[in-house]
Amino acid sequence: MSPTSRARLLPLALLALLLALPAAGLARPPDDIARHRATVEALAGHEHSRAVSRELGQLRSWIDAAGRQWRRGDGEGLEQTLARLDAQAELVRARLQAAKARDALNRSQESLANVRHQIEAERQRYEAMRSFLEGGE
Amino acid sequence: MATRSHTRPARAARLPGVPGLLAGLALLAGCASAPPPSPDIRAFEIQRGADDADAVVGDEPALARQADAAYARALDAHADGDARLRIHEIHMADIYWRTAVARHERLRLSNEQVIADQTLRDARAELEALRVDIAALEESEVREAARAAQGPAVSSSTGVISGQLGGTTAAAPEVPAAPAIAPAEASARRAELARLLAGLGPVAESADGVWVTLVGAVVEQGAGQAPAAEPVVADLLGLLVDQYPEYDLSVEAYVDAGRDPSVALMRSQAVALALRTALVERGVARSRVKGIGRGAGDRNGDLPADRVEVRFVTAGR
Repeated sequence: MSPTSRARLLPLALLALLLALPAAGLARPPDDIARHRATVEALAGHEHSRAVSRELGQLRSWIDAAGRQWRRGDGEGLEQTLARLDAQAELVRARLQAAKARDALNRSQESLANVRHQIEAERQRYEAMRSFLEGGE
Repeated sequence: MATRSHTRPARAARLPGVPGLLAGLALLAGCASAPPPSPDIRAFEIQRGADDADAVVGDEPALARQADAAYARALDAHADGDARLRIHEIHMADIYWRTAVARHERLRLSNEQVIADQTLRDARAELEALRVDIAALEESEVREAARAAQGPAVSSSTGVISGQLGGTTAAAPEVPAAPAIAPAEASARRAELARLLAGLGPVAESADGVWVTLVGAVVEQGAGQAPAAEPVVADLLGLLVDQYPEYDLSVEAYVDAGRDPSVALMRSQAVALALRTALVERGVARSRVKGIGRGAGDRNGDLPADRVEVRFVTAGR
């Protein structure tokens, strides 16, 4: 390769390097996106995930959007979307915990109603037996 | 348009504390030329001004601050005409606020759970106490009936529930006297009874009668519920008591020694009571069957810890 050719190619090489820099700067986001995808799948497997189906749908939609933003080099948009994804995942976790707490409370209240019903039945039985023993029957 | 922009102070005034201040500042800064709030901003203001907002802020102040800051940034972006930033920030405000609400809700539910658990424990204790009272009452009934029909009192084997209702004066149910049977015939009948009982479990004979060890004759129904006798077992025992009037029945229950002794005693009483009740429901005279809970008892050779020993004892012994 002659020096002249090399001199001609140099600007092209620099241009390619300049174009590659933003992509290199955005090298992490795919990792973030993959992490969020894994998070969504884990959250979707939760026993109370039906309570957060809308939020999970939103998460998936934003993950897709993040992928598109990364591909077209929209750094600002990607940063915003990743921030929303982090916050939204936290929201889903909080809502799942609330749903779990509500479920546990409902079960306790059902058990309580059941025990109270048994207490009432046993009390009636007790009173009937006592009445019988005291000659009331 | 100006009229709509001046509706913001009224909304902002409903926002408590920091958000109200932020909204007011944002409003004052751009009062003259601020565009009307967008639907997403209005939607956030409505949920941020809900009745329980103060309680949410009290439980989750950091998240509430983040929500209010994002809301203020959304207002700025809206005033600057930056729709993309406004949408992002109002999304963030909405997410932060709803996270705060969810955590507040979980905290409230957890507090209610503590109360519900305590109430449930109290109710279960009350139920167990009631069952102990009933077992004592039934034991007392048997003692009174035996005293009236057979002279000397039948001693309580548990030593726990005796005497609680010692002052009762029950009229003894009428039970036909056990028929007189010749010794040879009695021996043959006892052997026949032992053969019939062998289908239920290990059987032993003595001069007084026959006893069989049952496993699974009474089934626990889960926490807080009374155990229930297996209908097939109760049917067969009821039939045999009827066919062998020379014997009375003693149902002695044992429950796993690994439990708390007092719990084991109460559960064993409930088990004995369940089988006795099932027999009475099948027409066996109350005075012919007594139920005794022996708690964990002593381990008896290879016998299972959870078992019921049903003793056919010569009537009057």
